[in-house]
Amino acid sequence: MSRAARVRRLALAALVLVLAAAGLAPGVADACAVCLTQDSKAFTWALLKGTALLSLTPLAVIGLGVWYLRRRARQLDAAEEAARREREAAEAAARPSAPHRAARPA
Amino acid sequence: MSSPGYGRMRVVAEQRREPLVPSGVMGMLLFVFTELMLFAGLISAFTISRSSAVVWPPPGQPRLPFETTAFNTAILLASGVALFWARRRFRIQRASARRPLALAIALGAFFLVAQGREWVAMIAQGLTLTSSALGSFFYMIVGVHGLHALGALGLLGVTYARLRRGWLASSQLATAEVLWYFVVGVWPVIWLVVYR
Repeated sequence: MSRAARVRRLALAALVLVLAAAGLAPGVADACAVCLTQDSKAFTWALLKGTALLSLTPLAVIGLGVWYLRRRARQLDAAEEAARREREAAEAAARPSAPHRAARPA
Repeated sequence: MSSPGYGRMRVVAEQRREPLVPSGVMGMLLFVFTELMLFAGLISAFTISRSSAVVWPPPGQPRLPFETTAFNTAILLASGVALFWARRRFRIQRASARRPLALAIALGAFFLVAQGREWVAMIAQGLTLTSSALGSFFYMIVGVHGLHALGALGLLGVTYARLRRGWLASSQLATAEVLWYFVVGVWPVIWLVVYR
């Protein structure tokens, strides 16, 4: 087995171990002093809402930013393309026309 | 057939293309993003703290003036509308944006002064930074927002001064707009979550 393949296999094994640890970790999270001091429904809801707010806000902002940048890039592309076409049309109109075939001597 | 010189010219033209977002606006957007996360953290902490309390507001602490602050919220929203109007006027004729911009600044200043008066009243009723969790969160969240409002008002003031002298660029107005819309936009959330 080549060295690169061995490194790849080791990295994969490490990834599997990390994922397995993450899957088994919630037991460790029970140690959180804030999360487990209360057991009411309102408190659980507040925790859920807080988690959702803090997780979704950055994703929403990044998504909005990417959407805006794509839209703006398309607008600039369209404006550039229109200007290029206009320039080409103006150049074609200014170019002297080719002599007519019929006007040539036989 | 295009010559190498023409190709170079095209490359230069492509390099000089208008930026997707002006640098000032981009910097302000990044700042606003970090501040948004700060407010999200504060509001989240407040929600969790409030839900764990048996009685709210805590015993011996006054109720926050939700109804009175509704008027103040409307004033701040009106300030955002005035700034939007200023942008529209700026596009048509720059000098005509002065009046709506001044109105936006005046309404924002009114909001700040009213908030200051509210703080004085709350302190008089016994709500201080150390009196309870409500006091700590109230002065922290509303105070941080007030600081942002003060900074944004300063920026709007500079924007107005530049407009009067005829030096204001569109991107500079946009930079101030981003900060002010953030201040205006985050306030109704604070009002609904903290004051209710």
